Amino acid sequence: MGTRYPIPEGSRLRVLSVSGSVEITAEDIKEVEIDPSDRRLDVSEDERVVETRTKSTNLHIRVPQGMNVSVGAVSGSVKLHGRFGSIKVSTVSGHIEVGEANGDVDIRSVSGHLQVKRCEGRCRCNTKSGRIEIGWVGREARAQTMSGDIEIGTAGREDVELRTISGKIRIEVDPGRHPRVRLKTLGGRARMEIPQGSDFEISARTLSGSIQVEEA
Amino acid sequence: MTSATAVQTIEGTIAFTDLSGFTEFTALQGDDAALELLDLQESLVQEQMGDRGRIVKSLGDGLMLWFDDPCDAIEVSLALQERFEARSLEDDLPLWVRIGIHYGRPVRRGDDLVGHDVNVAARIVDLAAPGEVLVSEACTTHVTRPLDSVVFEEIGPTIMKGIPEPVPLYRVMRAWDD
Repeated sequence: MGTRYPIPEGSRLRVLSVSGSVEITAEDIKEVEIDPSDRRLDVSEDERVVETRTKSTNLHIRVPQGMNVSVGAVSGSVKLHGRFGSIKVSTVSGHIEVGEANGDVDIRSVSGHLQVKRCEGRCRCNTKSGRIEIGWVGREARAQTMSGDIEIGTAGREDVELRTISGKIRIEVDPGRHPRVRLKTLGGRARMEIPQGSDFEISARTLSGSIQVEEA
Repeated sequence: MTSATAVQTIEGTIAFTDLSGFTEFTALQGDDAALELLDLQESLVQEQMGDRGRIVKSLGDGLMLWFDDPCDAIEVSLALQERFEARSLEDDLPLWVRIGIHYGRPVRRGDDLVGHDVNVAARIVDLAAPGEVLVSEACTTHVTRPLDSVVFEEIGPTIMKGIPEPVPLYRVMRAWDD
């Protein structure tokens, strides 16, 4: 059991972690609960940010559903379960897993896999060496990795831009949406399995992998 | 008896560029094509930068740049990304370049620059995506004139390996990219 803190309405949770994993769960609660219980939660002067820091502890945090969250970490995985508002995460050497976001998602790692189950807003994922999986994105998506596959599902309402240096790219488009496509691969095959149109644009580029666009 | 060497610090803007996937490109396309890609990167940088900055050194597949004025660093970097992207599409080349910018007080060592702020700038480019320009808050606070159609978007708190305090970073974009 952690310590519970009341939070100003509409505030963003900011978590800074040097080493250790960060696990945040969005639930039907009104306060923020932090485990271990000796962590502090500081409120910024304008009450827009609540912040906790750790140097070497694994953090488990419970937050109200829909809360906006930012995490900065060096090593250790970052996992966000449940439904959040907007999400920003950066880590040097850890994997990032995100459940659902009502807003935008912007996550990046130097060496880690990135996974987003569902993003209603815009989604940006960037890693140097790791695969990227975006289950479904409602708006614009940009995903880039240097060494890893990219898989994405899109509503097909806004543009999708994907780049990997060495990896496959697979895009699933919601039924009834027809993209303009720009698919480029230097060392693989590009397969377009749905009719082209002008609903939105897919730009996918890889140096050494195949590209596949299909209906979800 | 040894003589003390005067340490000369200068204040300004350090930028790093990094050509993504250069190793893979070289393996696929060979050394000659790789060399051409590096030459293209450097010539586009020289052309765009003019006398607003200088190439401090070449780092294999990247460059270290110096600008007195952070506004110049930002404008040149955005213009460079536009040029890189256009050439990349035109020639089918993966001219996918990442750029990281930081403002600080590095130490001169001949023509080279060293120090904490150089290290921070190098860490920033590590976090940038191909085609992206990331800048530190230290850089944004030294922007002294309006930058036409430029927006800064906070990417959240960033803790960097070996740098004790979090470094707030911003993605720099053209207003019409947003």
